[in-house]
Amino acid sequence: MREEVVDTSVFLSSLVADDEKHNEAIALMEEMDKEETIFHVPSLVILEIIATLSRLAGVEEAREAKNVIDFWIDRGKIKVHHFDLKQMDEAVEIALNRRLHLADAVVIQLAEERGLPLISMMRKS
Amino acid sequence: MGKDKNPFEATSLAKYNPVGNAARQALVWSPEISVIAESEPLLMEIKNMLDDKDISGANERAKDVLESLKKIGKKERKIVRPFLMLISGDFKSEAGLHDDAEAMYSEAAKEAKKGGDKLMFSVAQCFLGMNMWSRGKLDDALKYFDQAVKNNNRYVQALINKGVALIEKDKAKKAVAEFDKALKVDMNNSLAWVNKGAALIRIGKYKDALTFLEMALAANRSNALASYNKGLIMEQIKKPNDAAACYEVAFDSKDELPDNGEQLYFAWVNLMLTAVLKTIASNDMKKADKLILDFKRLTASAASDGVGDRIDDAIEIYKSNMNKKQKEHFSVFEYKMQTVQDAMVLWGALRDWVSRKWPDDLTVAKVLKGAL
Repeated sequence: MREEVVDTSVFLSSLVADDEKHNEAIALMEEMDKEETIFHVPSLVILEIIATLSRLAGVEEAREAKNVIDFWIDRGKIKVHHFDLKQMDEAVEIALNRRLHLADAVVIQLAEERGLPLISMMRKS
Repeated sequence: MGKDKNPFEATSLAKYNPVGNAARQALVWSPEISVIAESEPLLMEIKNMLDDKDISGANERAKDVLESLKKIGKKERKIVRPFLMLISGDFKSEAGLHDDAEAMYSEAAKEAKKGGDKLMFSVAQCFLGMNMWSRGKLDDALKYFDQAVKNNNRYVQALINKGVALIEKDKAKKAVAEFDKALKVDMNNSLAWVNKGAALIRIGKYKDALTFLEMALAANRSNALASYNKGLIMEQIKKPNDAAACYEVAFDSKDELPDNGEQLYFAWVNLMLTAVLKTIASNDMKKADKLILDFKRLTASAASDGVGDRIDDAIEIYKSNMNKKQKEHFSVFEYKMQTVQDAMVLWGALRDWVSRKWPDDLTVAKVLKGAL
């Protein structure tokens, strides 16, 4: 089974039918659901998905997304990583050195630490 | 037969070669008619119409040619007359007037024979065969295909169709010989490969069948007929996962199958139910849930395609052949079909809600670049 670090864009693009990366994102989500791939995400990604959905689609939609993501987490299809201070320091260094958004720096830190490919609908891994 | 195997088995499928229209085929096979068409503007016009599949227009023009036949030489007349009858037969066949089409193709065959044009005669015979086949007269169809290939042993479409008719008549061994003749003429004919594979499955030669199906799949990975037939072999040689993968490919283009996927649904349900019940028996509920989700997805997709009854029928046949232990496991399967949650279905429903509310022209990339 493959293992990948994914960022918020994979989840959101799979939920927006008109998004240019929608089909690609849906294919990734299906692979995860079928247990062909395990998704690794920093907890910040879950927060970012829910916060963005509640702002742009609605609170009910955001809650439902959280329920389905929890279902996948319970079944081990998505593994959530909670950052400690050391990891946060490393992410800060990545953000400063590469002039990145915090969320991007956090997923990059996780991918580099675990030696896993980073999948994003916004950039190449 | 294995202890946990259900006696229901799907059968291998072969597909006839679409032959288009008879007049177009006559132009391909009969050199004389092509030569005459080059020098006769009206016939050239008909040829162009046939190339554009305008049978109705060609039929109208054919009437004009028929009236002016006296102007051309006797020898040419003998060649042109059966050709015009083939056009009329095609026109009537396209209009669903099968009796009239049969009469015209018959007349064309007689005229071609009289004129000594064996190749055009074989075309008329082949189309008489197709006409009989479409009306369920398999014996007559076989007779005409046989005459067509006797008069033109390089007529690949007729050879293939004779082979398929022989499979339908449970004469798979004889069918193999016809597909071999077709492959001798055109060794790259992928339909002949697949049909030969289907015939070999019927006589239990799975390894040989696999070789030909693999050749067809190497040429076209999404060949539904080859994938379906290969799936049957994988089941026979006890590779259920490979069989499932083949059926998945076949489902993507099930409309290309000669029965529109009816046997495919039976084969898939049989394979999946056997796997699910076996998994429930071994108490591996996580794996069972996964298989049941796959089952639910196909059931939902079949229902949305309007063929949900195929799944129900296949389940009923499977149930009628279950032993006592399997019946117990089947009740667990039924319960889980009601209760197992399909997260992707929920995610799909959520996508519909989100997409409706998501601001127009705002891509996810734009949103995230501005976030945090």
